[in-house]
Amino acid sequence: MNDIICATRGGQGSRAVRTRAVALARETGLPLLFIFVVDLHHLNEPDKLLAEPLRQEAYWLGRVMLEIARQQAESAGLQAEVVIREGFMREELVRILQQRRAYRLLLGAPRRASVSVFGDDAIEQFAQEIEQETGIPTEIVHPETTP
Amino acid sequence: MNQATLANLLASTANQTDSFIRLEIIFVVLLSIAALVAYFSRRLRHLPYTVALVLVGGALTFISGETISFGANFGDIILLLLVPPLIFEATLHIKWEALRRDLLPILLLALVGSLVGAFLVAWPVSYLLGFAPLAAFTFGALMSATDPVAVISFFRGLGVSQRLALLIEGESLFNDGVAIVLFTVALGIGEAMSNGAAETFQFNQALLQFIRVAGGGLLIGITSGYIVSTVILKQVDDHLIETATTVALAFGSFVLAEQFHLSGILAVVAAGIFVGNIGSQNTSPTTQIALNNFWEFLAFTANSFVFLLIGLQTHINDMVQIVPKIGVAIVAVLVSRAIIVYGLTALNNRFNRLGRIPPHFQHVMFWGGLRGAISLALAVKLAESPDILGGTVTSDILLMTFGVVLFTLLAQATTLTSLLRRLGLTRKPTHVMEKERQQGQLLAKRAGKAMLDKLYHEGGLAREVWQAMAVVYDDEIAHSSHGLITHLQNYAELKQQMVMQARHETLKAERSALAEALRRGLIGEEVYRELVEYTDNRAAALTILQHSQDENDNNRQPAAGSGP
Repeated sequence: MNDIICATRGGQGSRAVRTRAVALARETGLPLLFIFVVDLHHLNEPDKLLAEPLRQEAYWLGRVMLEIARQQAESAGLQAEVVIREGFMREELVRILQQRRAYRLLLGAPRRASVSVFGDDAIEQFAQEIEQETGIPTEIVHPETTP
Repeated sequence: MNQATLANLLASTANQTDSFIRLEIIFVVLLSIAALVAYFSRRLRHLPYTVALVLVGGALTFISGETISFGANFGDIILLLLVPPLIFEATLHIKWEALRRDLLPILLLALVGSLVGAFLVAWPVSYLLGFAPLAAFTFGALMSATDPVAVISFFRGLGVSQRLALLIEGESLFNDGVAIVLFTVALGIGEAMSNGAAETFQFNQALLQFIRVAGGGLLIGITSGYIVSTVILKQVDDHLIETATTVALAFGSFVLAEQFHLSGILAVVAAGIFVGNIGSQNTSPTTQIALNNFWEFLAFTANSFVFLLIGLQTHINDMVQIVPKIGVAIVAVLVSRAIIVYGLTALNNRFNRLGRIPPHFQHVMFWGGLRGAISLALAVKLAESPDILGGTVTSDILLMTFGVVLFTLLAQATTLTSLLRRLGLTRKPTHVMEKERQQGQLLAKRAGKAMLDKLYHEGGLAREVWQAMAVVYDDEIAHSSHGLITHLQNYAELKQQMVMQARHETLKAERSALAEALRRGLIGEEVYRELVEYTDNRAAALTILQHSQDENDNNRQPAAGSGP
């Protein structure tokens, strides 16, 4: 318990957030858990025939992304746990934070230079909502902050 | 045979020979001009090749003071000779999966857009210029279609995103079929009215005619494409015969459809898509290379002729006299295009959230709605029968069409690159290009090293030479590999793209393995079909996920798929 939870998806901030999560885990000695949420709700009712293949393929990609994260932790001498959840991104993150009574949630943000103010606000707002609901500190990591 | 008859025959043969030689000379001169213009426009870079051709053609006509005669109608040369191969070549590259994904907005723009566009252009032309409603609608019909030839040739050179290119190409390929039908309907009504046979416009009849012409054309294209793809391309393994067959298909499907008064262009579109998706799978790699090379050359030649001919047929002096009318036509066409693109994409985005078209795509679709050869060819055809709408109006329509076409090519086409650049849509981002470059170098070096090892193991290299070369290769591979890893660390999202690309490749390999297992009798037909369907569905699902990812990256919206 008191895990460091790192949400990963493979976007612009993914390496930065993983690096920060690994550093934090080493610094605090707390267990590290990478989570990938299969959230297909934004696809908005795809073809019924493809609903199941979409889910399977998203799981497949999630497993690959988590394996990349696990390897990054391993190369830093850490054994990280990996978890795939399915549902709404926000709800699933809240659920795992509460289940694990997490120490902190780390979220990766897109690159500042290439993103609109709207995009920055969105991730900030997302993090604030989770923090308010769970009381667990949420940290946003930008790619620029990691060497 | 008496002496007089023989003399007549000889004279006639001599005349025919003369006209053939004249045609041959024109062909050689035009091809030489096209090659020169292509060479210089590549060096100038800022001036699109197609626009340069129009300018050169226009300048030649202006200097000589007369338009060139080819011994055949300009409209016929464009429509019957040059457009079929251009459309066929364009459709060969359209992947059905990608087309299917955006079929709704494409058909919405092509069908509804063309029809509404014709009325939207007709109204101000009738109101401001005093054209009779039928004449104004005929002009609207001419202008309602964005020209696939102008659009495709331009977008090919710009390296825009595949989806944006497909949206614009797809719309332009399908909507000219609609425009031609609308034009034919308008002419038919005009003819009937001038003969006193009809006084009212019957919408039901026009709709039925449209369905018959468009549907019939597509059916002919699908049927002929199916026969060529599954019989000739599958059974014959000779790249020359197969290439010749595709030429016969491109022109044959067009002529056959036209013979039955159906849409020849839609027939070519359907045949091309069929061959590009089904037929090409039934050919050997050698044939595919031969087909690509041949059609690339043919498209270049036909494309060059189309734009050069537009320039050569431009009546600058006559156009100057009706500048205000041309101005009204240009504004009408632009306003109508804006209403159609922004209105219909908003409708699409409302009901088709999976296939939403982002705002910066819409701006390009609006400004990229070029008009070209097909509008001109139809206007010239109209000019052949001036009695239908009246001589002055017909002449005005012809010149207004030239005016709008020239405006879209000279003003819109030349500024499209700037627009694409401002919207960040030209080429791939620098970091993506860099990843591809490094990945390409790594792949090439690994292939070189593999060949080196093969040569050595086959006894083609002395041990010392192999060892020395291998050390250098290993060093280069390590260097490239390190560069790629560092780059991927700086741009983490590229790793995700790489995963998705690799997944596409592995799914293809899974599919091929199933085909091989079926061929070897390891699995039966039923299991094969079941597993292939499963693999294809996974591939389609992957494409949707990738598509959604790209959209998120482009829109940067706080959707569930974005975030960490």
